[in-house]
Amino acid sequence: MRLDQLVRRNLRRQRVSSSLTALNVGLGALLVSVVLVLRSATAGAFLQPSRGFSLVVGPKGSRLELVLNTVFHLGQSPGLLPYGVFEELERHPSTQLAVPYAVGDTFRGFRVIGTTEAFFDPRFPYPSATSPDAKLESGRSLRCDRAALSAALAALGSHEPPTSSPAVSALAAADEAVVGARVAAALDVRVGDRIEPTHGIEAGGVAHSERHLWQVVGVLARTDTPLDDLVLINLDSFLRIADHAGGIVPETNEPGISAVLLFPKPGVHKALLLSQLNKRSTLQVADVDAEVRALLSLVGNVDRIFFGIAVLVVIVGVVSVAVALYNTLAWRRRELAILRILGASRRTVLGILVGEAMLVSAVGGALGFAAGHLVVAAVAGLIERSAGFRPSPLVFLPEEAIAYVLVIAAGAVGGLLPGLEAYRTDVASHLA
Amino acid sequence: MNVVLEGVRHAYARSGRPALSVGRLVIGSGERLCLVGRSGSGKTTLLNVLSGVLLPSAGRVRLGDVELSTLSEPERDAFRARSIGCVFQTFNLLDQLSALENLTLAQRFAGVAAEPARRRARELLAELGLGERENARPSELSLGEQQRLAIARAVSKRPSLVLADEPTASLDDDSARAAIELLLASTAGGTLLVATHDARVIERFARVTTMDELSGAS
Repeated sequence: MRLDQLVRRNLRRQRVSSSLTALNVGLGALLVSVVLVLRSATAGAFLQPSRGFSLVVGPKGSRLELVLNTVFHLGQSPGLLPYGVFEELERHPSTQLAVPYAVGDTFRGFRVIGTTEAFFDPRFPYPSATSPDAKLESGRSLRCDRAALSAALAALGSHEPPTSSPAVSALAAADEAVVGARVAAALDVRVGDRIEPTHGIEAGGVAHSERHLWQVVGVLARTDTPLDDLVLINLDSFLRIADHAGGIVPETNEPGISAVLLFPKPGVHKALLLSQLNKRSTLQVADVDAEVRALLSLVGNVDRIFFGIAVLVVIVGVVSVAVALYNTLAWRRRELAILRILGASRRTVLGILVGEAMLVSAVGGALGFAAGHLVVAAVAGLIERSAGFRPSPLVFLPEEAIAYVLVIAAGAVGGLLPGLEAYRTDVASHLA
Repeated sequence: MNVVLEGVRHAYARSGRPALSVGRLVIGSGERLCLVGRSGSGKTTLLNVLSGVLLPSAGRVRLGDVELSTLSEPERDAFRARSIGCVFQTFNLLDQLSALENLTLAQRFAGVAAEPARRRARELLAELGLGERENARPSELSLGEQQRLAIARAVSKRPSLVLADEPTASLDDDSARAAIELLLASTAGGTLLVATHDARVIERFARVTTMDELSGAS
């Protein structure tokens, strides 16, 4: 018989007590697991999709709100930016690529973005590809004819009208959509389908006052970023929606868009753009990386509090293991004395008690970490609806493995107190 | 293993009362000695001294070639695990283990490998008529069976010295006779010291000594 078998037999004999103490440890491990998984998912959800983005230009307001709305497609748009700003930025000598965004509609719960071919430029970070067509899983990228766009802008407000009316009217009918990979999978949307977005970004939205259908011309390659949840339509078609007629910037009486994703040329150009644009009174520019890090720092403070609570619960669990084992000593001293008379050393007896504490912690910890992932699975949908990302319960983190080892090590430390008491057991006085 | 005690005295620190006094005791290798004494005369203390769990306040204890007082506690533990088997009045079996496991655990501490230990345990259980009950917990056995199991545990590692403290005190006549026969048979060739005041046991020994004789009080 091996000593580990003896340890298991000892614990099995006290099933209820062992189970309850394992449950105590398990609750702490559960909390640690949930905090670690959600922390990792939060960082992944905000850091990974923001990689490659540089600046976001939008109307005055909260920079974080602007980044959340434009890069992560969360919350409300802060307002409208004159379309002329986009044209100015597109021509700016420090600009490598400028992508206009107009938001405000949804298609069966997925956000609709009015944009141009610039979205499919290889310099746009997602989907990562060397050509516009390579960014698509199927079909082609949408077309946003500049003449049609000018016509739509002119129809909205003080924007130069197009010079070639016949061409514009021919293109005006081109209402094209490209859907993200998750949209295609979730709604079974394919190239050739016709879709009808609704007005507003709240769940469901409201139907536009005039029926307007877009033809799906492409499905984006999967990016595992919020882009997978987007429906892209050509910006001119977005502006032609009758209900968007009010999309005028009041200060300038110009047609407005929601934001511009700006990719500066390498080197000092980002700093130049930041400096120049932040002086403007009607717009603001947000550095995506800085805003995301500020957000994660904010989240990190809350996360540290939760993690601290989780560690405290683990400690309480380990203390309960120590107390439970300590209490058993009252009736186990004779048994320990028997082991000693059979030849077990004091260290062996100490090892048995520490082994019992470690096994309870290991079982409780394993169940706790497994339950933690079940909790993550249970709340994943809720998190996705409220924060825009879905934590995966199937991802086990290296930090969890380290935390599991630490829980077992803490169990060993907890077992030392009763173990040392057992170590001191006087054999002669406990044997009849 | 021969046993030699000279000038051994012991007093428990808490009470300060002398608990053991042995002028000189020699037990030859392979000899069987029955130690008789009233309650409180120090029989159990003597057995504890011989098993190495108690270091006497004074005197020498030699077991074979080993002077016990020269060994560290871990060395005494290891020596006890290999060379000394103990039998108790209350059996002191571990009830969370099966009959078979009680026998293999004792051998494990003596350093016997798992498979030979299991083989030896099964042989002993078969000899005791407990072969069919190797998975039974001690509490599921009768008192007689429990004491037979306790004796089997003590001899399972083939010790050179077996110490038995009132091994029949909890047993009826039949069980007591069976237990003492088993003890004598299973320790044949080894040294046996039985502390008792049970006449059924005393009559089976050629050499009987009293605690009073050992202390020189008589």
